[in-house]
Amino acid sequence: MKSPFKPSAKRIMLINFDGMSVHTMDGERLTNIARFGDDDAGFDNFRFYLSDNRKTAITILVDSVAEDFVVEQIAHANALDRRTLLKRKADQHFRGTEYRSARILGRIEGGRRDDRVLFSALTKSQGIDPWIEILLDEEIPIQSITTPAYALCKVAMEYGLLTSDTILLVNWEQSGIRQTLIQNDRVMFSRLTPLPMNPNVQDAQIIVDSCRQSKEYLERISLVEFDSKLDVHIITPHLDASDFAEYNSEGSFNGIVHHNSIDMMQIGKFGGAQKKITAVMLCLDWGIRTGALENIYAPSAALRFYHMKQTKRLMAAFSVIAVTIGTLLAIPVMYNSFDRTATIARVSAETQAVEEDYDALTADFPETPIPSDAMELAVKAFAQISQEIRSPTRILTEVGQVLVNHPAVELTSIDWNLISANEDITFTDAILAGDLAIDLKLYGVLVETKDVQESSNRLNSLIDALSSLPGVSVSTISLPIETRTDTEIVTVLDGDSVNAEFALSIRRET
Amino acid sequence: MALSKRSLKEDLIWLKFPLLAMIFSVGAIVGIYFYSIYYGNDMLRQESIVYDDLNYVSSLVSAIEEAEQIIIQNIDRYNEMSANGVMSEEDRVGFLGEIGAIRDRYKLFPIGVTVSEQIKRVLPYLGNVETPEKQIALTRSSAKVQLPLLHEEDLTRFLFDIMQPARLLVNNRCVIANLALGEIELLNVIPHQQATCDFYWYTLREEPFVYQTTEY
Repeated sequence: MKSPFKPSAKRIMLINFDGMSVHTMDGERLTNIARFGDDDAGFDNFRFYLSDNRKTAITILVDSVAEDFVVEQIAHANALDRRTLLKRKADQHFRGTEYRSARILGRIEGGRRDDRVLFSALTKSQGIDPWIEILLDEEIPIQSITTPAYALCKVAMEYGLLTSDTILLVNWEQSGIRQTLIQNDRVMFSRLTPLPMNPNVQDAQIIVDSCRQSKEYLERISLVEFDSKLDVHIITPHLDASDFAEYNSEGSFNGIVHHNSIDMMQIGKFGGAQKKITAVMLCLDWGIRTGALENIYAPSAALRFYHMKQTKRLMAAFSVIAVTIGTLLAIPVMYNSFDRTATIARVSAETQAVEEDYDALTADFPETPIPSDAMELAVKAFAQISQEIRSPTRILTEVGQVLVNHPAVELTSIDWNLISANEDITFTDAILAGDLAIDLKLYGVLVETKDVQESSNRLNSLIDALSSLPGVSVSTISLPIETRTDTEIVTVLDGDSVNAEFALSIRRET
Repeated sequence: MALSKRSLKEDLIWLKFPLLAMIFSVGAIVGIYFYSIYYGNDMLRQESIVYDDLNYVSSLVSAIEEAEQIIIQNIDRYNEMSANGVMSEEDRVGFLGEIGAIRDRYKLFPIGVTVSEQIKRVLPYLGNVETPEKQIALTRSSAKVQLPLLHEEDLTRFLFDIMQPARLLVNNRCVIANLALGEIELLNVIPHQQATCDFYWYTLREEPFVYQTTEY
């Protein structure tokens, strides 16, 4: 998939024996918009042309006889070392040119499993350098430098010419006959043979002879097995299939198929003379429409402005993304902040109103000798203690009313106590908690009793009467005769009066 | 002619404007973002402050309204307490004078009075009062009254009168004992009974607040 950040060349330069021509799209038509000679005037015109147009990316297609191919096996290396190794090998093979390429074709089966590498180069850079220099001077991004050999491989794929693993693709040009060996969708070899000057020989005969020679050469350099039969596809604008009918029976080839390049170009897609639609034009057309002519030969220095333009685009994209993300992140925060600003203003206004209320309340506040909380505490303590004050008079009156009905009882002393109902807390804590009880102890004697049983009955009658008082519980401290069996009885029975002293405890919760 | 080698420095110079633009735009957006965060936090802090202010002022208003209500509810009682000496030092001279007046009024036998030393405790505040200006101290003195009685009504009258004033005098014990008298003595105007009554005499006092209490 093509990267959206990768600029596709809208212009393609074709450098060939004839100089240099610039091709671009005029609507849907491939059009040659300029041609420049390979001399100083042509260079000046090219410089003027570039300065007069937008600095869009450009692809260069070099159609030259000076393109060499070498297939070699080299030791397999890791990715880090491989780059250095390939560069050194390319230097050894093609010293003196910067337009070279090393492409790994695969690994050899068996043995050390060496890498099989295709080295290729444009060996005569003199015809290319001036144009590249001008492009770099004018800061034009060079997207790629390639040759028809590599471009034709793509075009062959596009047009379905790869009928077997190994084909020989032949295209006729004014500059000569190019034969390109394609194996497993990869270019393995290509050469441009100049056309012979003998006008008496048919073009078809020349092409077939050329193919035969190329096959023999490929067999010698072991790119093609001896006596193997190749599929041959021939692209010309001026011949047709009948011209090659007589050669189809030739034993060197599996078959010879002719393709008319004019027929291969869609009608109305080329802006020049029909006879100029060659295979190279098909390459230009495919390259300019797809923008997918990959770089084969351009060194890093040639790609400088292309790389920098890419970097510039990446920086712009990064800036846009950063600004977008930053904005998306900042907007909700700022929105919340502005929302809070409104809240702050509203709450501040409310606070001011409440402050005014406070000032008014302060101004009207009643005079007080002590703080309100202290006053409340003192008043509540006073009220609580006041509420718990008890006088012995009340219970003594009630007890007196009971004693009226018991004339045989004489009290000798009374001990009235206001006590904490809970023994664990002090009297002050109890009074503040409202947890007091009355404890009354009665000490007395039973008079006019001569019988132990009678005195006991009278005292029990008194206890019952006292117990009937509201909220009162009575317990005995001592009785004239202890009825409990766990105590000792000591008395004198002389037939006279009975010593009938007693002590009772009366308790009432307040 | 060989192509000149690429120089990183020259490339950077060529890219200086886009690079500066990227740095500026990224820096600006980062700055804007962090400023928005800072601004947001500042607004959050200010919002918290104004809410705190509102709550504080509202609590002041509530407190002053509550204090006003408390004062309105308690001022009369407090003034009465102050007038009756509950909110000041014990008036021991007045107390003894009052007992003397009661004795004279009811022609009682000589009365023995003992008032012991005063002890104090600080009352804890009700509710959540953190830093009060004043504290209320509850002081207590023990008083013992020995009262010879011709008859029980002498004690009744005495207790009624001594506990009438609005002072916080709490009678916590009374022991009444018959005196051993002969039949002739019973007809004489002499003490027939002996009453001994104990009182707790409470007073309240406001004093500056200190973080210290005395328990008893």
